[in-house]
Amino acid sequence: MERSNLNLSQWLWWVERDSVLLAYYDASTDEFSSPTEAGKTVTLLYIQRPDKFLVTGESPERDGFDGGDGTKNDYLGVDTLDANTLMKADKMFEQECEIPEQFHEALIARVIAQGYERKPETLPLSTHFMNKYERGIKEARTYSIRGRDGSMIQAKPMDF
Amino acid sequence: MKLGEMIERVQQHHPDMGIVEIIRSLNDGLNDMGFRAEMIESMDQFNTVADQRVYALQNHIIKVKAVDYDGKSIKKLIGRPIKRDTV
Repeated sequence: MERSNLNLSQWLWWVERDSVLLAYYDASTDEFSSPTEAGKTVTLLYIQRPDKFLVTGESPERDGFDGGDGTKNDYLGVDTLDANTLMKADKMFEQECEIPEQFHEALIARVIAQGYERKPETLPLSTHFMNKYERGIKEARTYSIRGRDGSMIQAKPMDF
Repeated sequence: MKLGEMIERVQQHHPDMGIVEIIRSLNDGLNDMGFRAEMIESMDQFNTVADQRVYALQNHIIKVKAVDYDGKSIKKLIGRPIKRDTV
């Protein structure tokens, strides 16, 4: 038997080699089989890397901002992208990052800290601002775990 | 806060820092913060291909939290099957 506690036929997913894998576990044969039908919708709920600020002339790293299909043609809150998905100079400074506003200060503190790292005499200042950033990360972690409703998200471990 | 304001705040401390340099540093910070705090949740959909088990994840995905197959939530397998499938 594949697993002693895997006794129900069901669809399962797991992650391996930077891919998501889907298979149907058949308890009667004790085997996994791949989807046989094409066109079944798979929905992924995931944590994403925040989209980066674009410098003039740059285009987004990932798809979904071309506006070609009429669904999305803005990037970080600005309607700037033309058919070539390039950031326009007059809109560059209007971009607003995806992380919540209350953590923007921490993000700025990290850049300030890096600036102070350049000279030995300003290293204590760098440490001060880096500590501010680390405090921001801690608060952001709490914010992520508790969610917007303030309750704790329960993670239930489950083994098959 | 918009990018322009963030740049202004950095330049109050470092007037000699260039705009592109600040943007690159902000992007590094966004990466670090996004990875460590796992703040941004998102959702994508794709369609299955017949007899295909493996679907590559895009680069912006840090961690898959849940998967729905044909409109229904399915469970996560801890580990992997004994027999590995590469397709």
